[in-house]
Amino acid sequence: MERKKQKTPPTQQLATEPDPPHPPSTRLPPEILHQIFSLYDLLSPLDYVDSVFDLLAASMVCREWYQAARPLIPDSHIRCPFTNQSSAKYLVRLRRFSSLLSTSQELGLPYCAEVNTIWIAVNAFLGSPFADNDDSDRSPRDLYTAPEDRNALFKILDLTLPTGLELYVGITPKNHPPERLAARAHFLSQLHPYLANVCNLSLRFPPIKQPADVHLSNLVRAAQATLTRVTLLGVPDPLTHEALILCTNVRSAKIFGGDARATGRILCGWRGLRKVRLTWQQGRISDAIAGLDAACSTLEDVYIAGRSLVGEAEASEVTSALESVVSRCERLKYLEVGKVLMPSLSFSYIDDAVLRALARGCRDLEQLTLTAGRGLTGAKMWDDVGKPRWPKLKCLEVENEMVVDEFVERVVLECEALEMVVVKVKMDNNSGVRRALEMRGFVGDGKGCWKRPEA
Amino acid sequence: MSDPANITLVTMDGTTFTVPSAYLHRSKLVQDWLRSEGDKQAMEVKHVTPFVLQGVLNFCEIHAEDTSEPLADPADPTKPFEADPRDDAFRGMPDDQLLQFTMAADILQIPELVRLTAQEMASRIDGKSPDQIRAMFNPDDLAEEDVDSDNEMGEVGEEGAISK
Repeated sequence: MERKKQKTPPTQQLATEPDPPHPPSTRLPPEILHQIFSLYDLLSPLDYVDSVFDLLAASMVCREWYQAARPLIPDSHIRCPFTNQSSAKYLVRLRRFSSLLSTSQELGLPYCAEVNTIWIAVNAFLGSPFADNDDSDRSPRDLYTAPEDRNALFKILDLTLPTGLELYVGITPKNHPPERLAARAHFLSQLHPYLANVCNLSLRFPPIKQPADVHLSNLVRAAQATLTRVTLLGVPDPLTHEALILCTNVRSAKIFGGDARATGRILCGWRGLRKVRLTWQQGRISDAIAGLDAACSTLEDVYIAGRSLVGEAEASEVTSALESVVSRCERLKYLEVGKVLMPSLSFSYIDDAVLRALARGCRDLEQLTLTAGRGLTGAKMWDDVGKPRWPKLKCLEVENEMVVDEFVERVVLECEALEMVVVKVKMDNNSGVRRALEMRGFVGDGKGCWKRPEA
Repeated sequence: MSDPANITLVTMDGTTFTVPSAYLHRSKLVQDWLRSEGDKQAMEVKHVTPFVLQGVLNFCEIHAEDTSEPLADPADPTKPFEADPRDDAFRGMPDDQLLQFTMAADILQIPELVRLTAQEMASRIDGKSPDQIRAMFNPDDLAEEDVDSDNEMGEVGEEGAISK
């Protein structure tokens, strides 16, 4: 390489000569900024939070950086920046996020208002890790916390006033040292004022029964007036359980695990419930279903995932409870109940009695899925009920080979809004179901899925 | 052009560099210039300082004999970035120089160098606060006309002042 004016031999090491006194503009063009910011991995389940925070920081550097970085941050990652943080990075991230939010507020950026849900590991704010020989009491979220960590969390809460809180409650062993119990009580009491804004509360309890927790139950009571969405995992302590029952404004609930009877009791209190997802309840699932009775007049969407029913007695108990609920759910749009897996492995709790109840009372039904189950055929259904009255039914899935052609045929012919039909029944050219589908303009894919082209 | 085997580049202050054209076969800007204006004496690279151009040419020299297919798009996710020990000098340079090299790589349209410098910039931003990033890269404040023509941040904050 030949260079005139300042001769420097070619080298593979960069020269150390100084820059000119007035270097050219250092405004990186948008495409290069995009190139840089695109390198942050937002898909990593472990480290995406750090990438989001890096992008947030970059977006606060200057206007051009904001315009390049902001579109790359998914809104969902700002709305709920932490979920299920299981590492020591949780506290570091809290401090960083707190600092970033403070800066964004100084700059007049709207990030604080965009955040709506904060994830809090309660036992991470008890001072020091629980030092005990009983490893079963340890949690990866039992971390040493400094006052700055706590300050960072409350700074975040002050700046964002979140409408959603996700609390990882953690185990509260009886043999916690007193200072740790006091720290927990103090921490929960500090959270108390923020619950007045919360309409979406997620509580993750330990999988085993806990002693009565007056501080946590007080926290739930503080949100009673505003709570409309609740997610529960694990087993609530008795006092929190009672407090949850009193949250009568709940409209949407997800309950994972826990005891079916306790779930049923909670559901009894939620009389305005519209949407419910129950998954893997322990004990008699009919107890949980019976709890929905209180909300019959408002329920629109019911999803209950459990196990296959064993024996006639259990099947009868479950379908009877379900029939009782469904027969009074006039607003029901969606019902999926049973062992919900891929269609060929599923087991539905819907039998002919439940189906009849759906046909008689649920005129808003939009989707009907009939997978394998006990006592489900649909035979003579329309002799009893008259004709299908599901004017809003858009999707019919019949994976149960025992369901008779006649049932499907009538639904296809008489439900005007139907857009998609999935049928497992064997259909030759003379099949009434096939004729009905073709008459209504459905086109099959050869694998049992029929759609109306205009749909 | 008197010597088709070589190309002469002129920087913002008039410093000239004459290097084998083959060094710059990954530079789209240079290749386009050779096709359209190759009969001229020298190619001007107005916005690049001699120091930075020398570094860019060093990179090109190091990679002149690479047989890998030229990178069409530095952001191509199907071609993951792999650190090359020959580029360690670029990874160790000060922040302000890194910024200059990033811009030079963009001006000369050398995707491999764009990718290297972008990767390095991204890794330096890791974990930093906005103030720290500003101190590192000191991006220019915007010109008045840019502020006037761009309302996006103005909508965001009443004062519309994000750049410090």
